[in-house]
Amino acid sequence: MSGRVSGETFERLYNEHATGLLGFLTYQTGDRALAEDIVADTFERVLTTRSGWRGGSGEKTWLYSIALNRMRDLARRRGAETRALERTTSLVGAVDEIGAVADRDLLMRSLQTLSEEERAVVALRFGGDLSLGEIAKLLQERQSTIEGRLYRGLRRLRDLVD
Amino acid sequence: MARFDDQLPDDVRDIAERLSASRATFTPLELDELRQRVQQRAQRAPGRRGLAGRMHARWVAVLLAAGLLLTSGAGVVIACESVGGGGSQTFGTTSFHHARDASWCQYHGPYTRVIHIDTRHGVITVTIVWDCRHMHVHFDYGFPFNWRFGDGDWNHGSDGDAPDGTSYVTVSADGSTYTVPCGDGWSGAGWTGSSGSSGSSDSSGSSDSSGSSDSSGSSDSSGGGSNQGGSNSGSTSPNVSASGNSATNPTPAASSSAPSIAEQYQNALAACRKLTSGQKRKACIANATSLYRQQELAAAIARCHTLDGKHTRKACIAAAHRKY
Repeated sequence: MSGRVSGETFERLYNEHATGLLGFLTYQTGDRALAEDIVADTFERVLTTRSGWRGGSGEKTWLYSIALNRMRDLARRRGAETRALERTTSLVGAVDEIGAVADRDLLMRSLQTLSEEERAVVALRFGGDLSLGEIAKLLQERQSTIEGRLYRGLRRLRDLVD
Repeated sequence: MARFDDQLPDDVRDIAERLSASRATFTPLELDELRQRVQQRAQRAPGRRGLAGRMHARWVAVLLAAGLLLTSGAGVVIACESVGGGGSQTFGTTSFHHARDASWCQYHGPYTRVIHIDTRHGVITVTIVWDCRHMHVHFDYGFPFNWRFGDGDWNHGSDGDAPDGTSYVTVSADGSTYTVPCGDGWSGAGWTGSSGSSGSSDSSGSSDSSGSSDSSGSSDSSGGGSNQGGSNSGSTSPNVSASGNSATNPTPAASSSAPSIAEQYQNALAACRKLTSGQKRKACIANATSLYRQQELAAAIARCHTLDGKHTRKACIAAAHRKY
């Protein structure tokens, strides 16, 4: 696949990977609405980019790398917004926080306590259903490194949840 | 390697199964809705460009931003240089850092505005710090001067926090008075209500596709003059005027002349449509649209922040992001 993605290819990519991307991004960001936005951005990029998938890596890895980059961009932009929100909601924040903590799912909260590297591996493996080989290729790390992160992340999660 | 893919160590297998079982999924309806959203957005997107294209888009964006500033009627630099009844007093150098409306501030963070006022003896430096909630003003001048917020008491100190509802500050030095209207964002708790629909007076904007993030320089089509009315009627015009004799000065029609975001967008589109080159016209319209959406997004987020409940606000902001 090179050049702009055809409608048919887009349909196939979307049907095969949209749910996996959502699972990964929801675990990674802890925010379902944000995850949906990033999935949409990712596929919009797939439709509008001229370069397309160059064949250097699997299309699945290509899609997830777009999503990862988009997520990092948004994280940078949202940093400023979050800081502004924190300043302006300081009075109501304390009250809201109690409700928010009570409502939050334990697993999701625990995931957010992992290091970013561990969370990414766990989210890609169990949210996106990527194989360890695919994760290693995507994150450009050795597979043994990915295995170590996954195991450490899972152990930490287990301790937190139990 | 397959050991970890297919058979995890026993001690973490349970948590892995829980993670797999709890992963987020789309319903068929959600999947379909998102697909339609992606396709609609992709159709609207101007498309990715190469380096030459990006450079071209950046140039067009700069021109467009300048055009918006000229057509907005809510300028800063020329407005600041407008001469009041004093005749000879003009504001010399004026530099604005992120001098946006409150909604922009709310979205991107606080801004600092520095205004230099030339007097007969020197320069009064007025520093306005807006943290999206409070407005702090600091004056720096080597000679005696007084100042006050709105029609309040005169102060002799070098700084103060503006009370809610304040729409302008007046500085008196060397026998002249200088009025600095502050537009929206000044009125403390009131800023959220007026920022969205009244539009940003400082029409400088940024565009993702162009990379242009801040433009300065503008004209004030409404003319200068002192703002002696002091009404805070949702004006978003950060006009700055010097006044020696307020009775002879016209009151600027800031609130009526400052176009809304939609009006600015329409003006920009009209300007774009006059371009003869089809490619330039398309790029110009795309950039105008991008600017418009960003401004609307900022305004929508500002409105979200007025809602009660953190979850409600977050949902509102997420919806705003989706819409714009």
